Amino acid sequence: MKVEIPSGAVYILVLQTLARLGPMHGYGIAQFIQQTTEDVFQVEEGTLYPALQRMLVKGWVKAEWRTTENNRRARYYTLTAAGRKQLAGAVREFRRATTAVERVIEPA
Amino acid sequence: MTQLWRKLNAWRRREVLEAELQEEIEAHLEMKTADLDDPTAARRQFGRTSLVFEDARSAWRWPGLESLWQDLQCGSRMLLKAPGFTTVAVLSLALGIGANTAIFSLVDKLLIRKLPVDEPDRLVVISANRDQGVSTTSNYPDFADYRDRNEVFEGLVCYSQRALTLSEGGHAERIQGMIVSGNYFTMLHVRPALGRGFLPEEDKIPGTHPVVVLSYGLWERRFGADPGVVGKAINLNDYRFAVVGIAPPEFSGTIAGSRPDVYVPIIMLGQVLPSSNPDLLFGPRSSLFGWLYLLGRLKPDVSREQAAAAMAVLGSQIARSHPNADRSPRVGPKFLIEDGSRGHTNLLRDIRFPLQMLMATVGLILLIACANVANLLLARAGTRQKEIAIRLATGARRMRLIRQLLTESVLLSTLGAAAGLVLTVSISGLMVSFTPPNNNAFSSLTLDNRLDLRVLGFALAISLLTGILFGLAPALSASRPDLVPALKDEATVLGKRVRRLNLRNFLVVGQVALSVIVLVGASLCVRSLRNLQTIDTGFDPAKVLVMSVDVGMSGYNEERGRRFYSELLERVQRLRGVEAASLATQIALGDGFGAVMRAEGHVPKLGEDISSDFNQIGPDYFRTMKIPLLEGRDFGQSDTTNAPPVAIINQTTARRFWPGQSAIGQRVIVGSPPYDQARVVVGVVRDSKYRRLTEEMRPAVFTPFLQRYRGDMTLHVRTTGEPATMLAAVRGEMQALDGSLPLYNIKTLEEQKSSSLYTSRLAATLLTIFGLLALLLAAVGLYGVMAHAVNGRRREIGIRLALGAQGHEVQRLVMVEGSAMVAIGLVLGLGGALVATRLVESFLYGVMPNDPIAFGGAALLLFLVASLANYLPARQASRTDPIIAIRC
Repeated sequence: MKVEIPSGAVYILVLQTLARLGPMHGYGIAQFIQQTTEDVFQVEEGTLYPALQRMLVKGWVKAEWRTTENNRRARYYTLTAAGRKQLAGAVREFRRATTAVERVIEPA
Repeated sequence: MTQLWRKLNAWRRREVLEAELQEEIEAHLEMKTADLDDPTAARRQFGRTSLVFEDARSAWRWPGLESLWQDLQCGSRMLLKAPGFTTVAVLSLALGIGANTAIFSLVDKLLIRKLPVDEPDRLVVISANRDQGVSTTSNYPDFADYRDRNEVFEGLVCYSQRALTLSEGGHAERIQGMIVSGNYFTMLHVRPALGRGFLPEEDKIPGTHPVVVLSYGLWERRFGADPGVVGKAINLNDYRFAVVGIAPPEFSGTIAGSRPDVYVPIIMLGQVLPSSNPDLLFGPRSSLFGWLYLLGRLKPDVSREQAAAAMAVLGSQIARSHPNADRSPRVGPKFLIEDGSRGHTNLLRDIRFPLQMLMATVGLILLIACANVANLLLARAGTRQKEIAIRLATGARRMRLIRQLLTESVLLSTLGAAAGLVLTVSISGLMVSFTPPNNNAFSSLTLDNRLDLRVLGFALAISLLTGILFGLAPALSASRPDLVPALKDEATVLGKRVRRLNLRNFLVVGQVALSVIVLVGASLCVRSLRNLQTIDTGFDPAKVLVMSVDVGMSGYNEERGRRFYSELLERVQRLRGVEAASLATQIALGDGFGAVMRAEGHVPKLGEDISSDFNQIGPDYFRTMKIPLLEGRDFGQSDTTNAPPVAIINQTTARRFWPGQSAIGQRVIVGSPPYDQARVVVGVVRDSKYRRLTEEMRPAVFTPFLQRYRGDMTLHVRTTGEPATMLAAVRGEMQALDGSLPLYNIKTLEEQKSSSLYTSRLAATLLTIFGLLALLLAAVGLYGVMAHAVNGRRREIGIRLALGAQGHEVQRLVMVEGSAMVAIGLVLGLGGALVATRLVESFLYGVMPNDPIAFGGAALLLFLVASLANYLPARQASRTDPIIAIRC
């Protein structure tokens, strides 16, 4: 089953992916998210690229052109210090929110 | 801040960024295609690349601003591409917005705007109940007691407006002076633009502190805004006053509609108005000396009701300790405390209603204009359906399209507003040309037609509002086309067309109805004005020239003044082309002047009205005015102070006191104690109109000027030819005697008569213009809809003609459709007019609000014009060439 990504969550997913993989291009990020979430989340390109552009402008990631293993030119994104900070904060927020939701769903 | 900086930086590099994104997306697609081994699927999954771009771009752009700019560019191009449409739309709006702005400009200045002082809402107008009804004025000693002994006002001021003569550098000019209590500026919290206001010690002892504050306007106009004027002395009514301050530019006194030039402390009354009655300051506390308006500033926690109660207690205390000299009842126990945030509004009494009526009318005009433009936009939306469908099909969002269409309509209305401002200037110029008669020395209504920021703001607001109002419906319906048929160029699919035409028909019906209402109102006012103009004045206003002069203000004493007037009359009477000439204090159909008058021995019952009109005149006045002398004799050169006091009365007075017998030789008492005087009646003249054309016949008494001197008189000259041609000669005689005297009220009695009807003429003229405007707009609307409908039905009409229908049959077919709209609109409009005109009943003279001639005339005019607007498209339809129509 595929689920629409809640708005805002795409930033966490992308930032976390970059934290895990190191420098990666857009296509790789999309593939990674899809595989790790076992196809639950599919990051549409229409969402991914605008999000990347916004993060670039915000300074959470930086980009450089490199060649892929298949010898293709692609733009690789790297997490910046600001991006790391943003990710830590966002994950904390997200944890708090999900814990709260879980408590409601399973009152033990 | 850094975020904004980053964004600006990104925006600067937007072209590089865009190219990079383009390349990146291509790389993405390649990689995906390689993985999926299916380029079409890859592309499909990617979605619309254009949208991805659009979204991504917003990261380094200001989509709102940039698309607004795009919309504006695109809108301007669309408007330029359809010059006919744009012209009609902009003109419609210019008419609607211009008319509104012009009326608003006056309404705002006279009826809406509050005084430009601190917390105007705490200001209250104070009036007292006197022997006869409510009096808005107070005498000075009572005011001083109210001011010093009340506990409810933070401050209390009094003022009265008087004309003064300013003579500087050999040039004398009549200006408006405001005689004010010394605390005037302090209480209002008005800080002078330059210099200072009045000091407390300048308000104590009469005649000791000759100081004045100039209005900003006079300072600019007469003294070239020279700051050095403060501290200098100026000549007011032949007395030197030191200028201590300049009032701020936005402040124009506390009498709505007046524009005083100079503020003089009341304690200097004897110096600034040397001919005024000395009792005006410290005389008896009688209503006879009520000449001052009162304005108070309530303490923060005091309500108007509390103030009224407190003043009632104070008022009766004062009345007990100072009974009236003539034992007549004094200030009643009641005080009226009313809103004073706009100052005193008495001058607006006559103009308030016509202004409100005109404001409502221009509102209707604007609606008609909006309907017109909405109609045009709807028609255009029809022809633009394909363009809009293409945009929607290529991924434009509906909101975005609506915004673009609204931008276009707001652009249109802004253009309309700009063009309308030109019209505003000419309409307000026209309005100001209807000046109220002002022929006495007191306050006069000055209509101010200057445009200011508030008016421009109003024009802008109204244009935005109308842009959205008339743009919304077309934008909503245009952005919802059926894509498939629209793309196939089938813009006139039946179901669709009918729905849109219904809205357009509805608009036309509304336009017709609204313009009928305006037309009926206009014809009622025109008929009312006709009736007013044919009222018998009782005198002959044709060929009479009047001209006022006040020698008292130029330092003449009584002896010199008497000599001046007698020489003046002699010189003028000798002029060739002068039939008769005389003097009078009052000009007929002006503000008039009243006096108490009774027959000797007649004891008035409590509440009996013994007021009458009063005029001091020279010999030959009745011959000059052509008022028939019914009995007795006219005043002569022998009726001087040495002869017994005499009077001439009118028919109504004679009938009232001596019914059935001759009044000649009887005695009347003129004036109130202590100024009353017994006079012998030597003549009876026919009744005439004294103040207003619409007044009932009222008592009047005339006394000879030679028996009681006044410095301000008006020369009346009856000419044999056109009076205006004698103006230079008469003025020449005046100046030959003394060239430095300022002359005022220079006009003919015909002009006086017509200016006394200024509110009726203002309403009739403007309503006629607006009525014709409404008619024109509605006709354009009707024509537009019919022409468009005929165009849309070309094929159908072509088939009909090809199958043998005659031209006139087709013509009738189209005419019937248009006439149906006109008929419905006419019926609705006449019904609406029946309701609306009842509101203006009090304004009409000699016409019922449901006057059949006015209604019939309006209906007929509308029918004729509408038929023409209807006939033209119908004729065009009947001339359709069936071959061409069917082939297309």
